[in-house]
Amino acid sequence: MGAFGIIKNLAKLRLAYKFEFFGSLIFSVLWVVLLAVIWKSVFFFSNLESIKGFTLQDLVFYYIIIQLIRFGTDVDISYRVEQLVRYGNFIPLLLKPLSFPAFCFLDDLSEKLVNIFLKIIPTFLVFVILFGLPPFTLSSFFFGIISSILAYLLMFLIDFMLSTLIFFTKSSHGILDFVQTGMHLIDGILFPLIFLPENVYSGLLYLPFPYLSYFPALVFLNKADFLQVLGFQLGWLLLFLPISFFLWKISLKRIEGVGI
Amino acid sequence: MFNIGRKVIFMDRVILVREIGKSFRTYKKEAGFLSTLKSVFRRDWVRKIALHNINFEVYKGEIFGILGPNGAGKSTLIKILTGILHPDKGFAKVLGYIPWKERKKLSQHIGIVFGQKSQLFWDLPAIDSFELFKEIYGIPADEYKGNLNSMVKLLDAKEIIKRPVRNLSLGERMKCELIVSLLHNPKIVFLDEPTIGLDILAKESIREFIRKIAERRKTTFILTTHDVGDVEELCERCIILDKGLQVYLGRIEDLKKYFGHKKILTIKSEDKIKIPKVKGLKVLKEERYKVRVEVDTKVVKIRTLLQKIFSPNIIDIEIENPDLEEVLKKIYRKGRKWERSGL
Repeated sequence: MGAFGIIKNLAKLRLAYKFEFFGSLIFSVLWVVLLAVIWKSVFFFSNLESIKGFTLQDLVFYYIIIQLIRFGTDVDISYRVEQLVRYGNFIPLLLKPLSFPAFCFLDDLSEKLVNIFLKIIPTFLVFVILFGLPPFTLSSFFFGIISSILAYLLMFLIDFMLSTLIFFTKSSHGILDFVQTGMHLIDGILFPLIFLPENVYSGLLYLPFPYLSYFPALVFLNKADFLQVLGFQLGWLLLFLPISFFLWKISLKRIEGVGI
Repeated sequence: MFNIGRKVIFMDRVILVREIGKSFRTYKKEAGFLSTLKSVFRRDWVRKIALHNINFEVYKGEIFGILGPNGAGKSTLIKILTGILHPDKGFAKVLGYIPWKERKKLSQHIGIVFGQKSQLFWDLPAIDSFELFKEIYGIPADEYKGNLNSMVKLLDAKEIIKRPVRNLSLGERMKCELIVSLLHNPKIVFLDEPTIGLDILAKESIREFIRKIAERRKTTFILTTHDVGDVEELCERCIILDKGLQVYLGRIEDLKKYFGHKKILTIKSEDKIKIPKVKGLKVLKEERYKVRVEVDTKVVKIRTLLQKIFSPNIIDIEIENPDLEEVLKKIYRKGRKWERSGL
């Protein structure tokens, strides 16, 4: 069994939806332009040079990088597993010599590899044309990539743990929506988390969510200590990995005990 | 050696099931809004028996039927045999593996086809799904190519596998589902309603394919179906389940013989036929010049009956054994337990 062969074949499926790539490129560019306009107004009317160390230009690049990171780290395994279970297509996947979590990971990885070529690189080029080259250094770029890969693994484990909910509830859609919306409020997608009140911000540092987008973006922009971010990301990964295995094991026990 | 009808098969047992039982906890609820509201806070749990003391064996190269009405326990049994469900009691071995303990190892040697669910990617040609399965099962390139070519030829599916699955007819899709389930040369294939919704020609082509694969490769097929035609044409033996109970295990022919004293008579006449009131006679269908009756020959002899309804204007009399569908209907209605020795 070749993991690369599986990824290659799953990637073909992603490529069947070419329009989706084009759509997400347009949407992400419009989203950043909209945010840039809003923040330009904020800076203009408040006569501020910067907010907590972020100039207007820093903010625009922050949102650009956040968009690109999300293309590489957004995981929707929980929704896909919910669909598989609800429509009865989950059972055939259990009867393969490849474990279900491994299949989920390879499936998602195939999407990410396609995203690199069809979403991240083209969107990055459009952003460079519109806003110029982000202020990367060679090291910040390299560390940013590593931090983004770890963010992806962290995101995958969080979403996989959420996906096991469906085995204990008949429908997990509502809970997933609630959790994911809550997560996006504190993962830095809407605004740099440093804008939050200081005690809230300090508290958030000890949660896994800022390490999914916010800190990887700061590493790219050379505004965060890479080693510290790396330490937190690795720590959360080491914690979530056994929890994911445990949750899958008890999910499997439930499937084997009462069916789905 | 073990004689299972037309074929004589060497005792190469691939499935052994002994005293398997399974029950589920479920809740009951009355109809209506108030009852629904009440069930949110308090539920009346009941234990439902899905399978009770099931025993059977299946041999290499056999096409074995699992029959039963809805809710009989067919799917639960398949899930136990493939390792998805743990039984509450009993023992089973499939290809030497205990399914629920060694599912991953077993999965390398079994194939599955669900008539109402697809294993293929909807938006891609089936050939792309085949390639993915080749990787998942680690099928060597030569073996994959050889298997694919022979099955495509048998099913006349050369063009079909290149078209997106969503553009295929149900029959064409089922051909692709069969190919994908057999690519890795499984020793046992579980077929769940493989001909559901298919027209006569498509059904025939699928049945022919299954027969050939079982003969040539000695692949064992476990077939669950509601289609009596599938069972009559493909299976030598079957198990019949009803409400979780094993009501029959044995040859299809024996099953029909059990009802051998019952005959179906179709009488055609040039004028209206008067059916006499006789014990052991049941009218199945009555038209102006044609009557179809079931005769219990233990109660009334056919000769006696014909003498009673003799008319010079009778133009045709046909005597048949009841078909399997009739037999199954009776079994399902009675829900009684047949032991093989009792046949």
